[in-house]
Amino acid sequence: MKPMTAPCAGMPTACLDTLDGLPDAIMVLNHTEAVTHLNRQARMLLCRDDAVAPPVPIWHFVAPASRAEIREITRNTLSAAECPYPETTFEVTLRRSDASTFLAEMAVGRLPAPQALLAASFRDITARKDSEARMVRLLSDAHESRQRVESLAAETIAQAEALAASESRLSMVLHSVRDGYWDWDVRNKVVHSNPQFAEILGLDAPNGPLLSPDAITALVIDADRADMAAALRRHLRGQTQNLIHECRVSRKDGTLAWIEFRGQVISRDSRGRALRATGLITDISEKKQLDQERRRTMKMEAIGELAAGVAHEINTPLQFVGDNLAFLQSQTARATKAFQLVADIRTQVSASPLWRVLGGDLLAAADEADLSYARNEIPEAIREALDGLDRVSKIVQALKEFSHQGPSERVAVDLNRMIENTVTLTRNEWKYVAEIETDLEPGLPHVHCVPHECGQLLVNLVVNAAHAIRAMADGKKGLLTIVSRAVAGQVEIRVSDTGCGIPPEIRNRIFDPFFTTKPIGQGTGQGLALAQATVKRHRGTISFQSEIGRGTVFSVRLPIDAIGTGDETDLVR
Amino acid sequence: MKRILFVDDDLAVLRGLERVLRAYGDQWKCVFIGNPAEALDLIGTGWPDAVVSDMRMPRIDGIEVLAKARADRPDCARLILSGEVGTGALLPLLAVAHQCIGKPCKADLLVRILTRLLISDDSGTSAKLNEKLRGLLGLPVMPTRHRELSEALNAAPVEREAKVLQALSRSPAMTSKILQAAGCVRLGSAQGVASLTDAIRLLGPETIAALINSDSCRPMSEVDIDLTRRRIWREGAAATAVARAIATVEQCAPEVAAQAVLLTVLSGAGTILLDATWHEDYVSMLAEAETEARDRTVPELERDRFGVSSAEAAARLFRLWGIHDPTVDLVATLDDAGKQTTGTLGPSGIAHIAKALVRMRPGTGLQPDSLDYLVRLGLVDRLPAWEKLAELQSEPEPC
Repeated sequence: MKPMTAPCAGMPTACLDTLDGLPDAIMVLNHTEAVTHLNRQARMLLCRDDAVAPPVPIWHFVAPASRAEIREITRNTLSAAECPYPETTFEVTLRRSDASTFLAEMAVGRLPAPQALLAASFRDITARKDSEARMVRLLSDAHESRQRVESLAAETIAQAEALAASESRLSMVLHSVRDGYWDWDVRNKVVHSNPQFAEILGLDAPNGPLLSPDAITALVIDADRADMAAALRRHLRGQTQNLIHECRVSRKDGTLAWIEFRGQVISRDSRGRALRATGLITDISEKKQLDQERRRTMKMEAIGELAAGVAHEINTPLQFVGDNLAFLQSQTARATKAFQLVADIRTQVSASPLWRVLGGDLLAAADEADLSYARNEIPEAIREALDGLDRVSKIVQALKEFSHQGPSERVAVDLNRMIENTVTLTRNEWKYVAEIETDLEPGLPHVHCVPHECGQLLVNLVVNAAHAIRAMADGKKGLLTIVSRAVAGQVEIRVSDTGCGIPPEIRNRIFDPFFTTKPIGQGTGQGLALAQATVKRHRGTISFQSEIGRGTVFSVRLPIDAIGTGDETDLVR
Repeated sequence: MKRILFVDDDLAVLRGLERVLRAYGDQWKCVFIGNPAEALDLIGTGWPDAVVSDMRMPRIDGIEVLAKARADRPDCARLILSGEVGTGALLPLLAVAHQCIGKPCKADLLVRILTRLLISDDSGTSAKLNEKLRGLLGLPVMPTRHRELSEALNAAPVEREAKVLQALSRSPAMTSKILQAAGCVRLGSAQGVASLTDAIRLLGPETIAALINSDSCRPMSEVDIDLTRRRIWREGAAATAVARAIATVEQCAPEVAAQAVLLTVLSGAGTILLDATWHEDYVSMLAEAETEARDRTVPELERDRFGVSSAEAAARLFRLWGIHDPTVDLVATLDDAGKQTTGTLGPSGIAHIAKALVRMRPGTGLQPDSLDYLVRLGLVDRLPAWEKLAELQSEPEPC
């Protein structure tokens, strides 16, 4: 057997040939880390024809990036005390003869030989690595995309949910609020709306949520329409930031409602013309009514104060006018006696010569003073003046009591007295159309109530009754009757008239605020609404019976002792 | 001749009054002053027997004018004649004015009021009583009753009125003061305030509380309350209770019962008044009444000693205070059985019988004239039942 060439010293050639039959690529290195042999597999992997001899430094076969690593491994292995079997593999980048590189998995072992020899077995793992990398990449891609999909999905779901929620919220809001929602397609003249919109306006909405803007503006009462149109025009032209406008609309059922329109143009075309506007409408009738009531209360309080002051001021002249008339009355009574005496003497002395001289002047003076007429008429005139004074005193007294009603708190009130005062003070309303009769229960229990509110209630009922009689227009005087009765812990007041009666078709609406049968400008439609509000605040009831052409009876019942049961807060306004 | 001073800053008012009062020149000497400061000077001389003043005047108001009159001559009659008296000034007003009359006040009404107040006193005792009455701010109040009323005023609103009425029905002093105050608010005896319930409602609990805590309703000191006074108060309360009980068993209408109780309470004021004015005399008179019960009635004995019966004395005070005229007339004649209305048993009849029953001594019957009255009414058969009611009420009350 031929000894091994120098580089493969200590390695029998047969062994080297054997190496060719192994499936793994093997390179043999000498102690100087030079490659002395490559087996067939190694030659194939490294693209070398020769089996390498003379020895070639290992870095010829290693890519620069892996040289340091290889060197460290080979040195460690060479210097190891024992012959370690390769226990671990490592990955290095090897270099082919054509300078291309590939990734190899390598294990290095030391051969037990006189001179240290290293055997490094390796294989090309590029493909594996590639597929691994591809796999990893695929996997990571997959993972990533799944995450993306998932997050996308989650996002979508969240968005969808949010959308759904907000949509349902919006629709819930739009359906549950008292406000009417409108979305106006200005160019196509269509208004989308929620059901409340039509309801508030008292509209039949045969087309569901679609309405025509003209149908809406047609509801605004004539008196308010021009203002409404102007406000709308200003906003559409961009002259106002927001559309906020209050107006009255006449509902299909004939009731009148105060509506507040609020909204905004939300898109315009390039020329600034409004395309779309949205907003809300609110029924503010109640608020308006409260406002009016509050204003009325304040007005009443102011008038009350004024009237009390005026009454006081009037009382002083009434005092001395009365005294002076009383004085004149007693003086004339005495003077009449004197006149009588003069008349008697005149008949007795008319024949005397002296009378002939002086009597002419006296007679002339008496004639000039129209003495015979004055003698009868002066006492009569004074009596009538005193009667008139009595009436004025009564009116002032009634006014004083009626107006001197202090703050809006409940006190015990004698409703009989209040009824009498009401009759005195409303005389102008009924005196030409009706006789008035009162049938008041003596000793009627006092009712705890807010005096000026109850006074107003009585005035409203009496005035309404007088107007009902006037509406008969038959020239005959009607009869207005006021009855008071104590009934089981309550006081009942009935105000009856022989007037025109209330048509059945409007009987359910007469207590509605702003409902009036009088021409616009003559009735506020507040009288009975206020009456009802007052009665409710006092925990009472108000009802009526009516017959067309025969008359109407309004019955108010108020609890005698409202103390402790009344909600005091609603009185504090 | 009585001297009256009129004060008003409106001269037309004064001239009007002067013209209508000219006809009464033989009864009264009237002076009319438009400047309140001058009026104070005249009052300072002690000249007027009566002062009638406007309420609102520049610088010096009606209260100041009357206060001066009260200070310089407590026996001077003091009236406000005004278009307006707010409840705000009510307490200071009541401390100086006997009554308030509203403008416009008709001449004949004013004359009637003045005539009653300035009636010339014939007998010496009666004149002295009038003097005392004009100086009187209020009747002595029994401490127990004062406490009762204070508690009633603090009761829950739903039961307050009933409790206040109940407490007042045992206190002539506070009842009459409240009627006087209500009359002032209502301005004048022309309308007056006939029912105690109306008066309570008109004044309201706050004003009533302020009133009974003012000088005019001061509770009597315990040391001054002797047996006689206890007895007087007890009998008064008993009479009221009997009146109410009779009204109940006779099923009278609520307003009749209420007026019967009111008349009984008010007449009780007279006894308190006479006792407070002439305590020792009154004690001895009561002793005399014990022994002479069969022959002379208490009112007769009162007239002998004081010139007026207690009921008449009370009526004088109430007229001065402007309390509802018809009510006062009934109080004045309450003790006189012959003056009671016949036909049906009315409020004053009930009050009369109730008082007679309470005064009745054990073993003696009803006074003959009261008995006659019941005969006239045809109600003698009811007497035993009423006597039982009176017995129930005369149980000594723990004081």
